[in-house]
Amino acid sequence: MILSRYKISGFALSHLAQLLFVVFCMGCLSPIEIEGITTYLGGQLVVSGEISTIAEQNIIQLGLTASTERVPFPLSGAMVTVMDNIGNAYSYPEDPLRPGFYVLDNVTGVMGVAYHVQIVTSEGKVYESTTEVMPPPPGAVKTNYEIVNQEHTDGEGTVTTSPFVKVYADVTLPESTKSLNLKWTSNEDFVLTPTDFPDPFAQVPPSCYIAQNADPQRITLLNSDNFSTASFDHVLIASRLVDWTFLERHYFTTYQSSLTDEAYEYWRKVNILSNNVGSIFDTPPAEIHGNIVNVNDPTEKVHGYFQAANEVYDRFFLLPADFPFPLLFDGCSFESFSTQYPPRCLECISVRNSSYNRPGWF
Amino acid sequence: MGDFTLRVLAVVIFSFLFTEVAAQQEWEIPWTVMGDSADLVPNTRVTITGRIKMKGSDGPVTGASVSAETFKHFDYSDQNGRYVLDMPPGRYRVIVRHVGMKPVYLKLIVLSPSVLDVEMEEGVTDLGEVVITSRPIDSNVRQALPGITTLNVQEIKTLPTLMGEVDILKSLQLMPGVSSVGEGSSGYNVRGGRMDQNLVLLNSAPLFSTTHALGFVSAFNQDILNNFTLYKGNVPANMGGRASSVLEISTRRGNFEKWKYQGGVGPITSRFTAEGPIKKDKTSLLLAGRVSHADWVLNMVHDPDVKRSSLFFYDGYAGLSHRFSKSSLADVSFYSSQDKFQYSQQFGYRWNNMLVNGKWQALADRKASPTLTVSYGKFKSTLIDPYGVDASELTNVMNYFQLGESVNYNPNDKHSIVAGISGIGYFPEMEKIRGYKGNTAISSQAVAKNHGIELAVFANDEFDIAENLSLSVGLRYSHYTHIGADTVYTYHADVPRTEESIEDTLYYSDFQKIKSFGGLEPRISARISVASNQSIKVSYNRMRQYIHLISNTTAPTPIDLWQVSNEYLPPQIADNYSVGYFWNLKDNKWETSAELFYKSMDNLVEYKDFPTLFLNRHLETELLTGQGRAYGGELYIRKLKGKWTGWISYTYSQSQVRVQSRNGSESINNGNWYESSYNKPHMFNLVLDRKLTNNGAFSLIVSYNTGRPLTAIESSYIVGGTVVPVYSERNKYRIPNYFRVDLSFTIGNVIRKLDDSLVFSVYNLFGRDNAYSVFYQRPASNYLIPKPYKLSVLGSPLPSLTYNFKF
Repeated sequence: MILSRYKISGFALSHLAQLLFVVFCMGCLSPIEIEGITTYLGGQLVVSGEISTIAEQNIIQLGLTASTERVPFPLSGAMVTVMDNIGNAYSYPEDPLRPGFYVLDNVTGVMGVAYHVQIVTSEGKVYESTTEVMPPPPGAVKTNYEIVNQEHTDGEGTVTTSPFVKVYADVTLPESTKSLNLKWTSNEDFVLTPTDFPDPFAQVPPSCYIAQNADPQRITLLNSDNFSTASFDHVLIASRLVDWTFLERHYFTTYQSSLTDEAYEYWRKVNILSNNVGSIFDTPPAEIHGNIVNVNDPTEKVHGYFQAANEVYDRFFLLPADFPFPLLFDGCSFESFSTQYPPRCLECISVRNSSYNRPGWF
Repeated sequence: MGDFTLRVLAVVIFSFLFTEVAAQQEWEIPWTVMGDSADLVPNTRVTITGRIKMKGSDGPVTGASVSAETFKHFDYSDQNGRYVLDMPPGRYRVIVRHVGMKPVYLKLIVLSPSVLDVEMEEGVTDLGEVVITSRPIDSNVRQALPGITTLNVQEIKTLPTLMGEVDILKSLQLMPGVSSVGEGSSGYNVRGGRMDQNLVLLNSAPLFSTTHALGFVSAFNQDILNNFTLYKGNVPANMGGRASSVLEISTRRGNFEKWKYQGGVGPITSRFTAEGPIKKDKTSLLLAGRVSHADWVLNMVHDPDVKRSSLFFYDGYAGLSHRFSKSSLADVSFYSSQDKFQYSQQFGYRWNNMLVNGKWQALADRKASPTLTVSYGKFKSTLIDPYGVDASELTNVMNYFQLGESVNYNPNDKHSIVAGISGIGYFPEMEKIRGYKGNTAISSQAVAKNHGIELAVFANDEFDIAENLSLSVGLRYSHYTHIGADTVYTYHADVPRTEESIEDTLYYSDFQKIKSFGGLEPRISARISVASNQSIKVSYNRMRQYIHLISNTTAPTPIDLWQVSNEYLPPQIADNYSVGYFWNLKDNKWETSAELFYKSMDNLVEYKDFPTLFLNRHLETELLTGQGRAYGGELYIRKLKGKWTGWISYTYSQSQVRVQSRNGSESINNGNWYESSYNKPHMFNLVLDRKLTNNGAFSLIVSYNTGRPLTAIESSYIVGGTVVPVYSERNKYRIPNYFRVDLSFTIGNVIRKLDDSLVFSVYNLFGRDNAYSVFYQRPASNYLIPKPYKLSVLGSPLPSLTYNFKF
């Protein structure tokens, strides 16, 4: 369930259309080409990232908007610097293994300090964000999970039953802070060990580590003004289909972030847009204005948001033995008589969001 | 088209071939002398007046045609059933007709002014020259007002329906100039106007919600309805309060002589009506109820969430009529409806309508009749979020009171005057949110809503200037006051209104005047007869609207807010112009018209991007006002008589909106005109009805229209792992065009001694997968942007069988 400032629910409205679909339709969802639509290469800058009170969260991602049905493009070769109001400047170097990802290590944001980001692209264009003041701490979070078999309807209207891991947060708000804007994100990290084919040199291919948002389209937001208690349990943060990624150790890290009013408003709008399905019960979509501008050309459209986030996290992992049923997915272990292996077993780095970098805590 | 459809067609054709049509007219009656030969004055004209009323109930029959010598002398009964014939002394054959009633044949020897009351009774009309209309058959040519659509529930009972539910709103959408966002959406749009610009009057009192089941089922039980008239071109001055149209729905009175019962069982509802005298010839009662049993539809679906869902609705009606004397009649009616809809554990809606209405009519003499109406209504909507730490329910309640006094005055057969005053007060309760079923985590909140009082004084005269020229001239003055108690925020000028730009806070006590609006609303139309069966009509009217539906979705939802005008939300003002050519052919067997219209609208409510509309103490910070314009042409050909009746309607129209702001940051589509969400340039409807013996009928509907506008995804980007679509300008594209064929077959007299019928209906006969909307579905990988799919909610033939009975 989505928690918003006034908790009214575009969610309910968008699900009305889905209800109509499942009640009356039963197989009448068919792809169409919208007449007259111009499929163009987007090419507009997208900035997404933050400075956090958790060092490993200091990531700024740069990309370019993509045309319809295309994956958005990463933007490499930029210089990314975060500056504060007490004269510090922190450079976010690009991760050589993940184009478009700019990472700052060993620095943490401080409550009450104002930050902004400056981006200089390889073409020499300069972009800056508005200032974000690091908000107060978000309280405490404790996560738990349950594994449930859940019927769900896919895009073609077929109903199937599959196991899901549901991640919940038990939240405690700090008593001293009157109003908090909270957002939760659940990231997943898992390892993928490629097939170790016999070879005369006995070389073992390196494992890949995949880090990504566990339920990227779920944006859970809450404004503490709407609640009369300082703690509440069982807030659903992520719902993750059980698949081959659980064949080895699989981490879930839940971040509870305290955001500025402006950042919270930005995510509220993203939440509306990402839940829109085009139905007649949708809120009319509109452009979301972030906080990044081209210094020399303020009219240029730039998407995204740079935020200062005061965060806490909780992490747990699952092993195959934690599941009450065997995980019958194709693994990557070598078998003498098999000639067919999934592509991920042959070149694990080809899997989206993978790298050879093993997180220190993994 | 599969075997099923072919079988349906075979049954229809088979039944058709073996149908007999009977048509007999009864002129074998004696002559009746009207007046006294001693009063006969040669070379003068004689007036015959009287009332046409229902046999047994004394209720007036509105819109019955009274025709002497094949329309040489003609009138139709007004809302009190009165008529006037003006003719030279002589012998006349007179026919009184009304759909769904047995025609009355009279042979009169008219000598001097006389009174002749006529009683009509329900029954089968003769099939030889059946007149399928609830109004005088040449009224489209003769009356001064253009753009009027009048239907009787009898006319639509045999039309194909969705799940067997007779629906007056869906039937109106088959007429030119009337459309909706899409099938299954609640509300309708008239000549490019918005849904909330349509005033729906049930027995003269406004009704805020007109549908059940999220828009799929009409809120009106067919068994209680009498006539319904849609004024889309020119609205008489005695009606107002909305900018686009008025739909006037009247219910029946209970029988004054004996108890009668009727009802029906359909796939998703059952209904029952009882009516009869409490005191014979004095007091009658009509009780009606309809209840849904639609959960089986949800249980048939495999989706587990839908299986756990529930849908329930009911509506009830009670009407009490008392005749104090022959010239004084009072009606009290009570209407109530409720909808409960729960989608699994995810969300739920509840909404209720309640309307109490009192009406007293006095027929002081043959020329004047005052009418007093008193109404109280309540519309309550609740959004339920039953799951999670924020489980809550949000409730909005609109209370309104209406009082009106009008006088119909007919000094002679040349003038028809109505004048009076009316007032309506809107008193919404505080908008409230609280924890759902004992959930104490969520904070309870309440936000005060604005109150307002609308007053109007009006006069309208429809009169003949010459043989070939008649006018309807009306003037309405409406005045609205936003009253306390309230808290009003003032904002810094020249900057967008936001919470941060609040300059001052003003407090007003109960009933203290805060802001007033008002103005004249002229209503003028003229009819110029080109020939006895042809006329040209022109009209202009201005309408003001002081209450607005706050709805930021393409189609309205049950939980949308009704908001009265205030300092920041001025009244919507619409100017409607129309001109039309009306031509009846072959002794009114065919009725044709061609109309052009133009409408300009001011102060349309629009919204800033991503507005927060609920529980907002500063709602004005989320609202914008814009302009609207709509124009188009309508063609209408209808066959009124014969075995085959029906109509063809075609509408070409454009409806556009423009929202500009002083600083440009709050414009929509850069301040340019853009298409409204319901703009469908081409709309075509064909309705065919074939009456069969024993109350049987065969009906066919063919509908085609341009797809509605769509705001489509043009590109995308990712923030924090979430794919965010980038949309086009507002309503830049269109969903595919719409085409549907429906068919119904009615068998009458199924059980002997019962006046009953069985209606077999197939909605979307060919199973065409029309686009209800474009539906964006995310591919298996979350890292791709959503792809467009065509969503067809009624994409297969939907048969239904409904049994109706009466005894």
